[in-house]
Amino acid sequence: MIEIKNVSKYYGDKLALNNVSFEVRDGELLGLLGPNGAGKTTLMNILTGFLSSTSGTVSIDGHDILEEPAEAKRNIGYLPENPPLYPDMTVREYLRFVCELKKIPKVSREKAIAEALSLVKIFEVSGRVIRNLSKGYKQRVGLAQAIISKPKILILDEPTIGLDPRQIIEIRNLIMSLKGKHTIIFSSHVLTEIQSVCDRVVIIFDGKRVAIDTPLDLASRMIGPKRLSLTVASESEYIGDALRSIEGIKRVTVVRSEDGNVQYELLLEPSADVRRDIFFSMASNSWPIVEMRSNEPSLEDVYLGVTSLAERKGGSK
Amino acid sequence: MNLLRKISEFLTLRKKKRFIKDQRSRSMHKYSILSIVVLFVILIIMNVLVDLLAENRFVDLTAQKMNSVSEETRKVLTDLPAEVQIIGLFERPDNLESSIYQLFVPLLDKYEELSKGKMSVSYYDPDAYPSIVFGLDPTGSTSFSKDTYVVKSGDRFVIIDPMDCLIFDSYEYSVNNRTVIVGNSVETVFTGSISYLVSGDLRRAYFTNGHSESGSSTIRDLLRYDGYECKDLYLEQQGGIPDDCEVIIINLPKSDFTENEAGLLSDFLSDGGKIIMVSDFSSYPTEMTNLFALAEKMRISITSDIIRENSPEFMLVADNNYYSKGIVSDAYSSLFGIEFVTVGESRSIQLGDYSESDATVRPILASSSNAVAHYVESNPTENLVEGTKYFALHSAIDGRTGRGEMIVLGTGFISADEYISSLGTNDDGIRFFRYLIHSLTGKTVQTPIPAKFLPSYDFTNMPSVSEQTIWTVMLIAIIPFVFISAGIIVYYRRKHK
Amino acid sequence: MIAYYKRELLSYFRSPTGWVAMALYAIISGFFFSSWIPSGGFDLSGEFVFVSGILFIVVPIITMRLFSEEKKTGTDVLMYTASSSLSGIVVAKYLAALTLFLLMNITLLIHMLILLIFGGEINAVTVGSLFGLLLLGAVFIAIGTFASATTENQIIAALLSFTVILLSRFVFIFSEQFRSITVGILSALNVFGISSERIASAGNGVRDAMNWLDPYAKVDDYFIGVFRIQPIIFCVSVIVFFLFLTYRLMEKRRWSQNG
Repeated sequence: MIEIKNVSKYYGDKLALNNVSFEVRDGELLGLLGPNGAGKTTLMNILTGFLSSTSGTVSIDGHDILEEPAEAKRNIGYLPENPPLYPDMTVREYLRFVCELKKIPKVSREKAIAEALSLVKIFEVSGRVIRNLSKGYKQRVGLAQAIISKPKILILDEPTIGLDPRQIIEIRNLIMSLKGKHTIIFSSHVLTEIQSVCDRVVIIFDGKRVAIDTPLDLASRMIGPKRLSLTVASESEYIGDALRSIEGIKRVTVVRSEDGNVQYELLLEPSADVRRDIFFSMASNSWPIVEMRSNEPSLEDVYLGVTSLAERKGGSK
Repeated sequence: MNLLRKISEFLTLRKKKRFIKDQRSRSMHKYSILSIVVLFVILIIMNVLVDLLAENRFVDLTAQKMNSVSEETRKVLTDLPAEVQIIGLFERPDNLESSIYQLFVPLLDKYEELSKGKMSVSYYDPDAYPSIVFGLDPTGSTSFSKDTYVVKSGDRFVIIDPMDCLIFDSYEYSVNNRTVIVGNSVETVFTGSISYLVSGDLRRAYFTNGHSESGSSTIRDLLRYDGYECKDLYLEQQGGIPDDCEVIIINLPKSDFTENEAGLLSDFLSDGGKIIMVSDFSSYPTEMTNLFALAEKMRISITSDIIRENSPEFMLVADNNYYSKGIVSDAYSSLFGIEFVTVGESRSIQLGDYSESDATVRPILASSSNAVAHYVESNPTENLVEGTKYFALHSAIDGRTGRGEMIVLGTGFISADEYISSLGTNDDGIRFFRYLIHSLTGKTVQTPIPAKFLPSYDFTNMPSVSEQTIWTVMLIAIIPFVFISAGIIVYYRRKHK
Repeated sequence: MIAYYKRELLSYFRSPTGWVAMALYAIISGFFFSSWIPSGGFDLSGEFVFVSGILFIVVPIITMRLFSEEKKTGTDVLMYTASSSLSGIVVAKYLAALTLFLLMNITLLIHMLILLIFGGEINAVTVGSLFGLLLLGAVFIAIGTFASATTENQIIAALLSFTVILLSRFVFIFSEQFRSITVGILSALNVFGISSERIASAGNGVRDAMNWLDPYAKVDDYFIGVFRIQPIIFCVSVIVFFLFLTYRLMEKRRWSQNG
């Protein structure tokens, strides 16, 4: 179990982490969500003992990372955003070095390397020099490095950043396959990624932990007001009224009018699906729908939503 | 203004205030700085302690103990009976590296330290301090030149030219005109000078002059360290032999002595005086009637025959019968601890048949029994009888007031400057000559500190030119090439791996 | 710790660096050696002393990459998050560089062998000089290690150690300069009426203090065949100090405020 208590970190005057506390349960896959610069990497660096916090404590299975670093670090596998690879080594040489560094006994080294290689599916490049590998392979070598000692805790910082979609899916599947064997903390700034794999999600925004919950609960909270964008090829002034009369539509605003097309923005009740009603309503009036598109909330919206939620909560106390 | 503010910020360390929020970082910072300072202090203390404790502890690993002060010097310095000053007539050199002064300055500092205040070393540039020269010799009769050392005790002093303490490779000098230092006698010279100056048992040796005698500076210097005051004797001008004279050295005169001079010497012998005379063929064909007659009176006859050594084991050079190893007679070798002396082009010295003399003659230095002596201007003939020939003889008579003694040498190899320097080092020979003088004056001297020779770095197995080329190519081409190509191979193999 | 030692040492030979350093060393010393062969005799200690004077070229090559590269490639994370201690890693990297240096000196052993074939003289001065050279190398590698930890740029690290080692060669000149500067300043500011002897001795004190730090002067004794314990203590102290500084500097990044 990882306990993070009141962790703050200053960089000079800048507060990178502000009093962050939460716990990570054994065996769970925890997502760390937040925009770039929110403090995810800082938090992970503190968890792994790379950086020391300005205040607060981190304990890994009861070992404080600052007081008993050797014991605490033994159980952690860390893949930083920029995988720590020596470009001059071959994959095998590198993994052998990592084995020695992590004090894996000599007899089980080759086995551990083979397992890691097959797990991250890089057997075919094991003899190649890391410098010459593609970004995706490098990421996987980095992952192999993190899992080779079978640590109880895996900390992965933006493991999918900079990869192409196919690689992203592969890495994501890989993480899914590791689930259960390790306690995994993994960070991302992509909402869907977190949603699809994580047991629980922690949202970090502006250095603060603004939410911690299961993705499902979080979604319901996050998904706040739903929006629909509608463009109709008619300038009829009755369209607005017709729309307002449909149940589930809270507000209608004209965004723009152009070449006889009028674009509306509709604010909907959270759980309503009004697209059919709109179609029939427009069709009955012979107002042709040129475009209708559901506006998913942006990550920024979610953060804003959750942040304001958190602020409101804080304010009410 | 901006600058001023920055300076004041810097001085008051205002910048640090930015970190005040971070107690942990601050304490780490403090701890870090403190630990560095503590370590630094510990290391300094440790070094200072070791410096103090082990200051004079060192092991001189060189074969000749090139870098340590010998036991003999230590003994002389710890028992100094009088104050001794060493004055270098130049500015104390600061950068000793690759200058000859590295042989002098540290050693003399060490002397000063060992003497425990009895001896002082100072350096004065006579150009900057002209008065120093007057202080050295108030009579003003001695001229001191710059870049020399003066060793002074009481009124007496010795001038030492540093260059004289260096031993050069005579072969390199004569053949290639290069000065290659092969050793030094700095300790010999300075310790010798000091013991000479403080010695209570001072002897006077006179060197005759006025007959184109050979230079004797090597012998004179060494004798001085043995406790002799060496003076010049101009028999004709002085008209007599000074009363303090204990031994007269006649070193390779090239013209005869006058009858008067020979008479004075003869009287000197009768009065128990001691004379050592060296005469080889450098005076030939001058008739040395009066001088040789003096020897004749002591039953020593100096012939014009040259000794030719026929026994190969005693020859110095394979094709030269006239350079050989002289065998020291038992009486002298047991006394001096020297068995052989390098000699050459020697007159054959024979037992004279002057029957009126009751002098007793004994051999000092002889050839093997396979030598011949033949007239110097003729070639050796077959009918010469092989036998032992003498390079040096000793004769003693009971005179009027004492026992007169005379030693005659037929070779100048061990006494004359020109031979000594051209032969390089003939240490045993020179020592032998000095011991002969001591045996005459009855002085017991400590063995002087031997000169220190740098080890010879010459190849005993000199590679041929083609071998040299092979080695050179291997060292500066093949080995680096192997490394470079290994590097290139590794680089390319890994580049495309 | 052993992991880092092995990695660093092998990485010298995975890249051209180690080979180039060895070749350079072999060429320079070999040139010096072979130019002496025709003279018919050679004091090998002269070569060792000469080589000790070119350490400012050799040492930066082998130390420049030790820590600077780690920051650049982001591999320093491994150092900080490994359960082995940072100090051990600093020592391991230092030892790796030192090992390469010792391997380079095999060239000099070859010269010794050749000299023996020629029937040349090898004595206490020769062996002492080699020892002095190795000791100096060990000191400079520690300085180079520290230089490498101060920057992320290999070239800057190399230039830094190059400069420091080169300057240490001329401590005796600077100390003399500082002596006269001190004397000059004290004489100019002499408001307390200090006697000129005092000022001169203050100047000498400054000079002697600086000279005391001169590593070359320290090992001079070995170059003439005298064995003393002080140079070893001094050199080990310098090594320990710089490695500790390196360790502190690396450790600082963990808690530093500057990110």
